[in-house]
Amino acid sequence: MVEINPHDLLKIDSISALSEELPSWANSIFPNSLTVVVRRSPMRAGRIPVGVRGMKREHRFATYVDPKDVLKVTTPYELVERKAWKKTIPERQILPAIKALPKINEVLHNYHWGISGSVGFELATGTRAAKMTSDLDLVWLPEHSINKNEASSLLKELNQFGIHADLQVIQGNNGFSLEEYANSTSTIMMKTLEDPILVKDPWLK
Amino acid sequence: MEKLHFNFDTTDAIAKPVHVGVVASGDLEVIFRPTDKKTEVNIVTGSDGFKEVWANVLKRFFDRYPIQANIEINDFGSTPGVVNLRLTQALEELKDEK
Repeated sequence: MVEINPHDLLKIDSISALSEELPSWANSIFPNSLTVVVRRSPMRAGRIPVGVRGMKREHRFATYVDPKDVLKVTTPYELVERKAWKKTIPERQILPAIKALPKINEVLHNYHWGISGSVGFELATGTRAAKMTSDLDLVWLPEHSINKNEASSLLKELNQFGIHADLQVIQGNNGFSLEEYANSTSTIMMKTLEDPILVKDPWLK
Repeated sequence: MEKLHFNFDTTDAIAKPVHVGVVASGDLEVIFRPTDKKTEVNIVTGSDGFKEVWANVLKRFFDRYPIQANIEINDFGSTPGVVNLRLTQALEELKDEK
């Protein structure tokens, strides 16, 4: 089995592959995509922690899936490698967060980056998960650290296209917000598989 | 979107405003401001239906740290673990100021 990381999108063969029974809102879009998002949480009895997305922000459901029931893994990075935004229908390309992607790709062409959140979900599944007001959630697997000034300029470049681009820096299983790092004076939050922690230097491994 | 309001009887006045957190999915912004009045917490959250969870997280926090402040929270679908961490971080920043 391939390695699975938080933010990866897993296509499963049926709803019954999930550990728990789903809330009723999940029936509106989930059966069309049969895709769940890997959560940043520990494995449980060999099962992968996943979340089911609905249309609303509060429509998130945490459950687990057995690796043997996973048909396909799509990473946020793959969506960039295959320029998945080019395959969206014109009607969806008017969404600010989708429209910005070719320009974001130019800014980040030297970065190993990916698309997560509702836009990543929409690009991977073809379901209408993103909204006119959606932020653009991005992930970045850094090869080296950058200082706070460099982080600020990068964020400025990413945020010039009329959308809020939120870039999470991935450190193994952990992740932190580039924006918080750029503005920080003391500690910042590092999300981990367990509870989040406060760190002074997020680049230390 | 939901607006929540809580009051707490607390006594330890804070001297300076602090601001922690970021506007991002799964995160929240927390702003503590000094006040002479009762401690007030005003929350704007994108996730409806979690009033009781908020009440519990906040009660636990003020039971341990009875600070007196006007608190504004803008939430973007954070987990209780993240909320706790941000409140703790705001407290630490208060201490740093002293």
